[in-house]
Amino acid sequence: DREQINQTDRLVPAGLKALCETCSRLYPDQPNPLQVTTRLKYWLGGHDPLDYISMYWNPGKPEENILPHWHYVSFGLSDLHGDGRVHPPPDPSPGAPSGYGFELTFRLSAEGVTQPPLWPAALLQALARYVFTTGNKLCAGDHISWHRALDGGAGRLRHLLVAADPQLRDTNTAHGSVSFLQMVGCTGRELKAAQRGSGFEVLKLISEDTNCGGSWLVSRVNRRTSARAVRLRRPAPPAQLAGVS
Amino acid sequence: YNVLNNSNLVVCNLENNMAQLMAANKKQTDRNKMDKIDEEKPHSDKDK
Repeated sequence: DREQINQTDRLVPAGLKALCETCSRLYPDQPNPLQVTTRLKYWLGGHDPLDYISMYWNPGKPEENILPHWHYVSFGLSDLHGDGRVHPPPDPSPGAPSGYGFELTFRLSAEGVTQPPLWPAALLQALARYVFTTGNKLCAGDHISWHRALDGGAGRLRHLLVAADPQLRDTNTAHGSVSFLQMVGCTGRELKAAQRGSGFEVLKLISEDTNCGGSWLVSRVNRRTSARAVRLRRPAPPAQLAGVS
Repeated sequence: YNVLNNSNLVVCNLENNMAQLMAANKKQTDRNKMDKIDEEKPHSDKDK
């Protein structure tokens, strides 16, 4: 048995195993979640960088207006294998990032659906492809202009803000550290507010509006209006330039 | 089934995916071992 366990340890890559364990601690009742995976892996010439995207059921916290939702977690922006097949060989110094140093998450309200919709997986793949193609990392507080409905329909959530995932904390793996960045759907008005001010401020306004999914920033694709405080805020008057009338 | 017209994306559960990955890694490990043996062969012939 021990030999079999050792063999399993050798065959399941350490980076992947560490992330799966982090998810298992949050969802101990879901050891075998549904995943979106790739037929042709990125390291074999495929064009989808995320090897797996797990989809967990999360009951939310109705008493805090946090809606029941599906929680999507990506695997592949960090170094899962540690053998140079996707990312450069790991940096052994303490605190060094594993691969790009983060994974993506997304929380989608489960209103009216019994199975996790699959479009968020395609969305996360597209974002990961951007990171791999440009080398630009994402950070909490960033905003992403997407310019079309996230679910491909006619919804008002057409852009994204980036937040730290409220439940998945930073994880140390054999190949470096990994943080979890949550993509949060936002309206055009919320995007503009983030561009003019701060992404963190808009995230706070969204989290405080009970219509917007609660403090865990659950995205509601059927949301028709922006966060209330963003709606009420008037745009700043044009700056007065000395000597210009 | 295909995810949003991307024929490269499929849905499966974690246990299946891990079993497939382990099989692929085992195949790769075995192939590496065979390559190593093949590499060493000419040297040992020369030594003789």
